[in-house]
Amino acid sequence: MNTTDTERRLRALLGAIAPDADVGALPADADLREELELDSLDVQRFVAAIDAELDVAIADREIPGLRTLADVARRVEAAAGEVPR
Amino acid sequence: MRADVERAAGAALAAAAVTPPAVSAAATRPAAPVPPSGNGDHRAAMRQTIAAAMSRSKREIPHYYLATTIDLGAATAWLGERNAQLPPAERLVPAALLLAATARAARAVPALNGHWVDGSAQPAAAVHLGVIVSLRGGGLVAPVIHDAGEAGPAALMATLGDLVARARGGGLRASELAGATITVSNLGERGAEQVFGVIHPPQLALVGFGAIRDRPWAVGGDVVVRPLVSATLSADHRASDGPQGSRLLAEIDRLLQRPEEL
Repeated sequence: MNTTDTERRLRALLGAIAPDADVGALPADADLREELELDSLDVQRFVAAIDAELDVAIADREIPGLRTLADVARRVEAAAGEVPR
Repeated sequence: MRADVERAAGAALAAAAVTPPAVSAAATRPAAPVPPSGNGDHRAAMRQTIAAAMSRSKREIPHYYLATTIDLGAATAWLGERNAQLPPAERLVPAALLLAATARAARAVPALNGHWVDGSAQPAAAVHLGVIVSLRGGGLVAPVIHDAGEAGPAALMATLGDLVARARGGGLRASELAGATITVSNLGERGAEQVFGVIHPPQLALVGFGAIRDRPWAVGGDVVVRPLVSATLSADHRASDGPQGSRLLAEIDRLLQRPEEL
């Protein structure tokens, strides 16, 4: 997966969690929680969807540091180099 | 046709907002889906529904308000340890513990769980927890977790996640908006520190939680930093008095000090 693919897939997952937000217009470097008005439950569901769909398990302690779509995409791509679970 | 659908949706929300659940037929009728909430007409109808319910509340219900601060140190520590061992889909957020504690506490104080009908309080046998969900772009809905007093935090969180997704995307059934016996307003991590809510008629009370923040707190004579949350109660003074309201908040606090038992 390249960055474009990863961001596209992440946008699709976000779109399912925030169907009333314009995820397509979200800049990759914008604060996800602020721009999409995500609460903790939304964020938790996003992390669960990433695990289910992209097979990348993000730890709870990492979540506060992932502010933007670009942050999440980098984290997902970094996992592509890890040993599969 | 579209206007008819929108009127029906508005009516469904209105019924949920202002009809006493005890006498509402909505829960037993075949459920009509509530369409997506993105269009302007629907937003206007929702605003009118909220306006009617909140005006009725402030006109009819003599509110009293209580507040307490709860140390969530034990709850967040337990949550952190639990989540570290589980895949993302099984992890909990603090809000799940707040809802579980509120539902359990409401069972213990019946004067705050139920409805005001025909001039008297009618305590409910079960706890059906209304949860206020804010919609992007304005407005709110309050889907109901039925029999929440019996459910643990994991079950509550799964149900809530499903209800929130459908509240925002459309597709809530009328039955899922009706029948709450008490409502929770949880502002979440980006919210203000306290909320004193307006009771959803004909319910008897509303519990509010502000954002969880690290703050100084006295423990055993020392000042330490703890994650604190403000828990508030708005209650109907026709049905209960301060001591009962205080008991509900104290019970929520007590339960949150033993999160493993929730």
